Amino acid sequence: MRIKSIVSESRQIQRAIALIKLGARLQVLESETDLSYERLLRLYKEVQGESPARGMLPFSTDWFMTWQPNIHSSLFLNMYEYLDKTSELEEIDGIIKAYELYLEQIRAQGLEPLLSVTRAWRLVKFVDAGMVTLTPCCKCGGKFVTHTFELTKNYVCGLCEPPARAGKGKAQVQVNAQESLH
Amino acid sequence: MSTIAASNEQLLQEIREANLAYLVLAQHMIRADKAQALYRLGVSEEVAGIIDQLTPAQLMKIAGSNQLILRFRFDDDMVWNLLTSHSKTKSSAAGAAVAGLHANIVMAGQLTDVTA
Repeated sequence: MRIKSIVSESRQIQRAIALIKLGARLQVLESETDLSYERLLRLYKEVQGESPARGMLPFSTDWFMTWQPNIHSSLFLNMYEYLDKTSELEEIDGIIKAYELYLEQIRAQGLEPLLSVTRAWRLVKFVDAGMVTLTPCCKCGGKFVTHTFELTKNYVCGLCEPPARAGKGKAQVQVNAQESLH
Repeated sequence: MSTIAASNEQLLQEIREANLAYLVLAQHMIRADKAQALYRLGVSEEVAGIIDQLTPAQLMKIAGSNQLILRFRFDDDMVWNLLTSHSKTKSSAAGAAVAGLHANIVMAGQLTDVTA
């Protein structure tokens, strides 16, 4: 589709730059802007100084359900839903702003962000498609990412009742390594 | 008597300063990015619009009160316990960080309820 308005084109370029800086894959840019593939590719190289990663995007909802990713995804999605309800934003702008808030919060806790902006975008699309949703935990009342048609009446989140091996994997080692550096 | 009056005056002064600092910060955030400011402040779009429009003279007037104009955005022990890290996980640093995230998720969810 050809873009007629220069103002609209400039807004789309700004949006694309914001997404590239956050680390978005080219597929996200193609889907969220009307800019041509060639222009996006040039823009990407200009902003990141390298060619974008190739290959397919992750397409499974299961990643969002594993313990640590679920915590990160839930935090992001709560932020996104908040922005979505309080401000009239276009979806992609909401994703960008919510993702920035997510990065801030994760860094403030001294953690590494597990959720990439591409995955965050996927997550919102999964919500739009009705595949995943936020379900309140019956213990803490916080809302967490779950599959839509799961039995959720007595849902308990992974933070109120962490699984037995929670935090004993690679991420835990990372935290310990950071501690020993200080 | 005079020392009581003096300490009271000091208290009022500090309340004014906290109020003013809050209002100026809020205005700054709203003007920088309104959507994100709504999340950070936890106020409605209408209130944010009003704060945005305040003149410096109005800011001073509102700040000069014997009441604080901001108050806690959570009032249940769930969030308090999470924020003060009454965590079941034993490993200190990781446990505290996880409890912090837990508090963030609970708070973000509650905010959505309030404004919905």
